[in-house]
Amino acid sequence: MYFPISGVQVPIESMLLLGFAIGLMAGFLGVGGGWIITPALNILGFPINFAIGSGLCQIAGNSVPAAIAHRRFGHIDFRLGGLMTAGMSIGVELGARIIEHLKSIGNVETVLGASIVVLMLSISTYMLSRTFRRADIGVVAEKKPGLWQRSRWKRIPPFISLPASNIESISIWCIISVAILIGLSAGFLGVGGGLIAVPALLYLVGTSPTTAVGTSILSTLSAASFGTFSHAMKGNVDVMVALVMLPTSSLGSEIGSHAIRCLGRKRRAVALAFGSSVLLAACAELVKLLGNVTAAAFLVTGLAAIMSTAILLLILRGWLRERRRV
Amino acid sequence: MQLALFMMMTTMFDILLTWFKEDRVAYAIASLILTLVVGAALSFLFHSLARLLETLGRR
Repeated sequence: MYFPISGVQVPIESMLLLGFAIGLMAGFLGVGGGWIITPALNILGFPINFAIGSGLCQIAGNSVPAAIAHRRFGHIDFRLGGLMTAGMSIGVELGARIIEHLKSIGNVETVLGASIVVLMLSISTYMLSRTFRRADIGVVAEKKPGLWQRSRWKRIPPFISLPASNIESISIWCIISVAILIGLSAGFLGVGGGLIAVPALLYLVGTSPTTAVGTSILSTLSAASFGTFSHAMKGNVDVMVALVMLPTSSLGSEIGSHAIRCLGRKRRAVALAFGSSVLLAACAELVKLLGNVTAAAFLVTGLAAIMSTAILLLILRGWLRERRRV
Repeated sequence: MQLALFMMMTTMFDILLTWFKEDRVAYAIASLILTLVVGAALSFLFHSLARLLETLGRR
């Protein structure tokens, strides 16, 4: 299929399969999926600025139902979400403007590609080291005050109370600065909505895990929407990419969210799979940067295929178990 | 039916391409609205289908 806005020709089957795999992983792991969309689109042949803009567009479309569901479950702290949205929008705009500057200089592919590799390698190394170090991964039994609450910067006014997150008083600068950094990462690299926002809200701000997930989805939705608008104004969005991938990614997302139920208590396995997937996606982008596009495509397709098969097998096993019980 | 759908899609993509070249504000607004509406509609559709299958499976 030819995408006239970005001027790229890509087999439609690849786009549909990629959309399905992204939706499956996003639904299963509970994140937006920018960490795989951006490298995958870039490896498929889209210029990196289009991969980032169109990826944000796709994430915005996919986050709507998740945000509605979390609102229904009462997982969203709207006061915190509003502040996060404001900060992330500033960050996204900053990121989009940096891309514009790089486009005018002419080395946007190398700088953005290298930045994505560095960010994703850091995130995956951190995630994997935590998985191997701690046996209680994913279990947040007691609620600790956030890192910011324990730092000496906590006294910078103005303050705000977040009753929905059980935080009596917190400096607004804490939330805004964290949000600007996350937005910058999302707007500049297309990576880092839920991937960074959830741990940041958990460990820096000190919210509960459910509020962190719900609020991060709300802020990801609003920041991705703002990012879509801003990047589209700057000519970095091919909306046809998002529209082609949305049907299969929505289907995958629905199936992926069902797979979570079949998982039981194997949170460590999920964390390990997630960390390894981010690491593999970073390696694929690195291989592409080094000039071997075929090997990069092989890596990213392999990652999508392995993860999708594993999730589908998990669902099949859960279904068979249920049938045996009946 | 398929032909009508194809024609509609082609016309829509043509309009989007024209806006991308000539009117970026219209393109940005259209991109955002299209993505959010299509995303929400598809998710609602698949979620309803999943519920229907679940109910049929229990019976």
